[in-house]
Amino acid sequence: MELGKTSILGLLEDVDFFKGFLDVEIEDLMEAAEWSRAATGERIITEGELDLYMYVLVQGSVKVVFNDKVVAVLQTGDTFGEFGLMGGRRTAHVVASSDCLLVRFNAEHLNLLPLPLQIKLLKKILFTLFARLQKVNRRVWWEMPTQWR
Amino acid sequence: MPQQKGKFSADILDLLINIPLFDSLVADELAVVVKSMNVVDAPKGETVFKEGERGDFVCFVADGILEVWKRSETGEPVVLSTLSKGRSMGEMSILDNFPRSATVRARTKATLVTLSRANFDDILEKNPRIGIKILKGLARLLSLNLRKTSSRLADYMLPVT
Repeated sequence: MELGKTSILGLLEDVDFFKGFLDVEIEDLMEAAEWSRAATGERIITEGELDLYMYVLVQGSVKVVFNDKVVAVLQTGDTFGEFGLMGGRRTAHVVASSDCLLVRFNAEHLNLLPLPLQIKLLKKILFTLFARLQKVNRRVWWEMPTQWR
Repeated sequence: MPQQKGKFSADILDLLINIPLFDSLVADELAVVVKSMNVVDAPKGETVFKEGERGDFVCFVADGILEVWKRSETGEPVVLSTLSKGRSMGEMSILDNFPRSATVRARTKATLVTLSRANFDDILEKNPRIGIKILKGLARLLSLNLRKTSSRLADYMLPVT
């Protein structure tokens, strides 16, 4: 998919994940990125598979399905599949719940970025993961009966 | 807590080799990390972390048993888990001064190995490739935790109809 530089920056402006990056850093990141689309109902990640991608949802929403249960609904600006980037096998399906525009990063492409940018990106991923973990922990702590925790 | 800086380097190295966070580091790289760490003794009963307080170091258990305490809905403190050799706590503190999510107390006399945010920043600056490996290790650790917790939550939830 071909997008002009201005329209890319415009699209990413509202995406939380890219906040805090300079325009020149976004340009470097986009060199390493791939754009893709997913239609409503399309499966983006399949449980059990092994791939080295993480995804940023630029437009649309997706659901994370684990053991036939929707464990999370993600919206524009959210990321998913970070564990794939670290070489982990997929343990859930991710399905488009509306038409989606996605940016995905491959681990090997990211390794070619300037080191300070790799560090900045990894920190951003860690903050995102940590916020998600805290949210899940809070739910476990406040919603589940003690014997389930 | 009394610190024994510079001592026990070989012991720390032995400890780090078995910690998942440092999985992808080779011996030379581990040696760099060891130099940035401190060894701290915690007497029995000592509070290492206090829930809600902001921290600026990650902690690895080298010896002894620690208890993780958290306040329940009723405000009553309960023991969530115990930590023994090789376990870590407060990992995210090497990135930012997040509040501690639980209170950690030494159940027995314990020896802890710590890495401060300032020292980790120094690693990132002077040895970025090592720093990147640690950040990736941390991302793996968080992903695994997230996965474990989410699946417990999924087991508890009703199937989607």
